[in-house]
Amino acid sequence: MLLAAVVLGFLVSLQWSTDPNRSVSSLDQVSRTVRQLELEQEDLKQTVGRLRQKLNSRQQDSVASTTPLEDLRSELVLQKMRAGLIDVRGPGVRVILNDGQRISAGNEGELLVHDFDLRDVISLVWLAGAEAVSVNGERIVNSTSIYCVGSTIMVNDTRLSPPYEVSAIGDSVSLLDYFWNPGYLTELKARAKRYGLQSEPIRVENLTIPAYRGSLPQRFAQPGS
Amino acid sequence: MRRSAFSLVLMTVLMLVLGIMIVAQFRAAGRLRPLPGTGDEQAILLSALADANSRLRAEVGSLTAQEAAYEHDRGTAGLQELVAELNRVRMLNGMVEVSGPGMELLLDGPLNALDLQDVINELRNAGAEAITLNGRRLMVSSVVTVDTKGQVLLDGQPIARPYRFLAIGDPDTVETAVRRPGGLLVLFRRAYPNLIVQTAQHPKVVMGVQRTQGAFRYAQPAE
Repeated sequence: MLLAAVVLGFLVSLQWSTDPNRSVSSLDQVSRTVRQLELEQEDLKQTVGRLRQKLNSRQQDSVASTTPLEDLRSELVLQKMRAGLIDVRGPGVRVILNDGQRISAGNEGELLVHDFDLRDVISLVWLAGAEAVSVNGERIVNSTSIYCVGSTIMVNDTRLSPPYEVSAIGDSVSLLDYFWNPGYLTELKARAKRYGLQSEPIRVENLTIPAYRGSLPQRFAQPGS
Repeated sequence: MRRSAFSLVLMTVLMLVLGIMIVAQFRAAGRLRPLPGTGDEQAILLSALADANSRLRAEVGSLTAQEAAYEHDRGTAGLQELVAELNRVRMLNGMVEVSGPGMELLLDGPLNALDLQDVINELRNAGAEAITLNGRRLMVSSVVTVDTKGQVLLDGQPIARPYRFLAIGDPDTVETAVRRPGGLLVLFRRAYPNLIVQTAQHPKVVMGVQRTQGAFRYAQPAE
């Protein structure tokens, strides 16, 4: 009887994960290709990060320490901070978002954290004066888009898994005020209450937000008119 | 008697859970994360990853070339190189006038702030390299909001209908992406039956600069 239950559980979960229209082996092949591409992506992102860091330090290394050159260097650091090309640290807030656990028929869509939830939280922290933002270590830059493929959220072309941690450096009082303002994130908060979906901001004294490691194609945009 | 029946049920449930967990464990050990459900979604994921990797390879190439130029120049960046780099980064931040081929998206209807925010996301996802909304250049921190009177604001400044987005990028790619089946515009049409949607491709659009950039009071470099 007990053994039967184990076997049944085994079969139930196998059944769940098998799409009836595809053979196990072709699904496996897709999984492997995805995994391969993701490993390659991680490798490339690390290389991009390392090269940018190296360039940053070469740009800051002084040959001749003349004042105009120093001004240029500090302006470059400032602009790179804005563009998300330099690691930054400072006080701020971390918002942890996680899928709800109170499953009942028909509410699956309601208890998951969606791409639009992440977008709304990120827009709100910018509105509250955030100076740098990341989610699960992916820096938000001007070209970042947050979208989903099925129920998987992609940020900077990388698949994220819950829990999602939005880190924002800025005035933590303002960040928390905006978060708890009943006029914002109304829908997300209602779902958090009903389905146990987690959306909790915490104050952090010293956050580190990593630099963007993605590509910055400017193939069509040219300076000037 | 009731007690043992209860514990038998409990044990059975526990074993059932154990069975499920064994499979879950088995999967986790294979390091293959669950894939999105349908074949279509898997195809989208595969092409997104492959595209991202080819862009990343190109980025590695141009960074390596930049690195080699510095190497040639006694290992540090000279004045000219610093200026070039600064202009490149200022352009990303919307502080340099830019031009290029692009697409125009005009929306007229009762869209709310979050809808407009989603349009911006959609254009970025479609590969837009620079975006304006009603003539104003978008930055990473740009936010659309609504004030208590219902006035739509972009970065705190009022904007009026119709909403006119311009995006520099490959016009065909951007237009196809925003018009794709199941995309944002399709959702909008369902939610706002009277919404006016117009797209147009332009061989050249020109975008001004965004001068108001926030200062850093809390963040500092950590490198």
